[in-house]
Amino acid sequence: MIFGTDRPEPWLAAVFEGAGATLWWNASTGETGGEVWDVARASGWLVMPEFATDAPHPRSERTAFFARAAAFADWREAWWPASYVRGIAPLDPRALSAERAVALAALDGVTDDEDAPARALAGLARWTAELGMLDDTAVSAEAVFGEAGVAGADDLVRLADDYGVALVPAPVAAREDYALAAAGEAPAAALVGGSDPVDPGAVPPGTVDPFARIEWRVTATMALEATVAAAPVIGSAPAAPLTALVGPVEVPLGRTGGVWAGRVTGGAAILALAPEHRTARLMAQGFEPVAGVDPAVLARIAGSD
Amino acid sequence: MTQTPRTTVIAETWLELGNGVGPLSNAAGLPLARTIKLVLDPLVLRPAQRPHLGHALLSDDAADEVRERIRAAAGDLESTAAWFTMMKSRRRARRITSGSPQDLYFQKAYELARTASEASEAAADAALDEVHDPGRMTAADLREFLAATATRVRAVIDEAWGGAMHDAVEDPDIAGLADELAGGGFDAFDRAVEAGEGSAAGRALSAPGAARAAGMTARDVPVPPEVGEQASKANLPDPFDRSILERLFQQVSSLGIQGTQALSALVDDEARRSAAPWQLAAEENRLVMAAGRAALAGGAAGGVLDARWQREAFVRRAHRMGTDAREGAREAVMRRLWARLQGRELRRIPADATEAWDLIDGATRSVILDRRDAAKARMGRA
Repeated sequence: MIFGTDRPEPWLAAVFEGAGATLWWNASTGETGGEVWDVARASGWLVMPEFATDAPHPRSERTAFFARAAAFADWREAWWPASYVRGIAPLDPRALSAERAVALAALDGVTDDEDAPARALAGLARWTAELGMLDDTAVSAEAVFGEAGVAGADDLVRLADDYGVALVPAPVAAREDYALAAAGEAPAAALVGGSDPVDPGAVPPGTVDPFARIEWRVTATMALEATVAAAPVIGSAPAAPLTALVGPVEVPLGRTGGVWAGRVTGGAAILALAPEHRTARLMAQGFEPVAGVDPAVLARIAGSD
Repeated sequence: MTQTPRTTVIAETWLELGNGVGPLSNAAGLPLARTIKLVLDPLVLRPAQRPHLGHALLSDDAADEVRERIRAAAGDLESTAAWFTMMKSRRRARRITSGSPQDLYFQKAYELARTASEASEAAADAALDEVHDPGRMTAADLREFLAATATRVRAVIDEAWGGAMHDAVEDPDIAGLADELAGGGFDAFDRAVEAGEGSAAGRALSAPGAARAAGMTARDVPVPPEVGEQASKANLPDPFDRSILERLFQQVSSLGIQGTQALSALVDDEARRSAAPWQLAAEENRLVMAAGRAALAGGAAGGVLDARWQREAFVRRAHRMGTDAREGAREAVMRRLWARLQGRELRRIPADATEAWDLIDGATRSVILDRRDAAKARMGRA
């Protein structure tokens, strides 16, 4: 049974997986809906809507607040369009993890996965082990912390310990600046070249700048080179295996600083193509593309029109 | 006769209890997942003894009984909350970091609430000492013990297997039972327990290829387990191919086993369990395995599990998380279900019909979430 707005397209769906019911919000319009898949389980926390057009609403406002917060933390982790090109700063993965963990702990007993709080806190612990503890300012910045009574890093440590997770307050690591990386060497003289926009739905989060273009060129030595700007990230960059597909030729890419780049022999195959077939797109091994992603909409949601 | 969801009855009655049970409640004042799983269900409502209180939908009378039982336990629950808070605060003061407080302390706190007076630091410290007792047997103790007594353990295994019935019997058809469980009914389950259908389904696994098809072994026909010298979480064989060491090493330290005699009894029990149908001791658990297999094969129960996978496909895309991963999931769910049931037998958690579907559905969810974590790790995000 679906109530309220239908499932948004996946890239616009902020999802909360509750016991017996999945709730969603359209990240673009804010509309909400949900699927009640087990009435008996969901009835403990959800008021069953009378009409299919009514959005399902939790019994308690606080449950609704935290469910939405957890859903949007997931959405931002997946789809936040951090970009050098558009000047959209990356989000601190510790802050996102902490928001999700605090929200899910507030929803203990309401989540489909009864270990969701512990899982989320373990995720936060991995980030704080890498980047150091969140400072108190970051903790006070988001409403979810205030609502949950988490006033600072100490409260986070205590919350994690409630679930048997040790948040090691490691010394704060020097925060890596995400300032514009150098664009790389000037390209060799090219026989032919071109560029196409990135489809963010084709690659995992944190890999490629959603507003960049995939640049390719065939050099005088018939090498095919491809480059695309990486997404700015805080902390270690995801190590996804990316490939640029230029016409029929696969160019494996490696990330160095702010750029993904690769070079293969076989440029002749591109020269043999009709110009309209000389297009470039990205693939990631083991990653099924999400169709229809519009970076402009992501930028608007991120507050950068 | 109206039927009220059990979750609604529990939620509404729990809210009446107020702030005194705050440490056992979430931000909305509802009971935590483990408050229900470790305290309310096994210690207050006890559906294992009172199956009518375990139904997902309760009759008016059963709903009243649930309310009364929770209200009658209000004092104990408030006191449990106070003891739990005290144990956590002593845990911090003593810088204990092992284990999860809810898992380790909830039932102890309830026991203290029922037996001791006011929560005191000294009593909380004594409880922590008991829970975190360093004298408990660990995986290393187990490995050493098995190495020293391998010949004897081998004999116990062989004797148990020698006496077991290995004739392949006819596999009972329990698709209808699985569908009923998925729909919240228990009658067929209780009848099938009496008829021993879980055991029959387990014995039928000795037919060539049958246990492999169920995901239980890589062999054509299961063979008696080895005693075992090595075990690692990352390379566990299929359930029936696990050595005694591999069946016990992950759990032994949390079982609170004291002394060699108790360890020896644990090992002997495991050797005998390995010769039983489904390699499980309780008829109810064998039937849960058989029902899980039936559900994973299709029918209405299979439809409920399929719906879970379809929701997962949507969530995977929403989380920008690569491909769906359902390949080999049926066998993975069976293995997960077996491991959970064996773990419950080690903890002496009795099985009953009211939990059967949750166990099957929970094993499916657990496999889905593990595969989600693995996908995240592959994309370099974990």
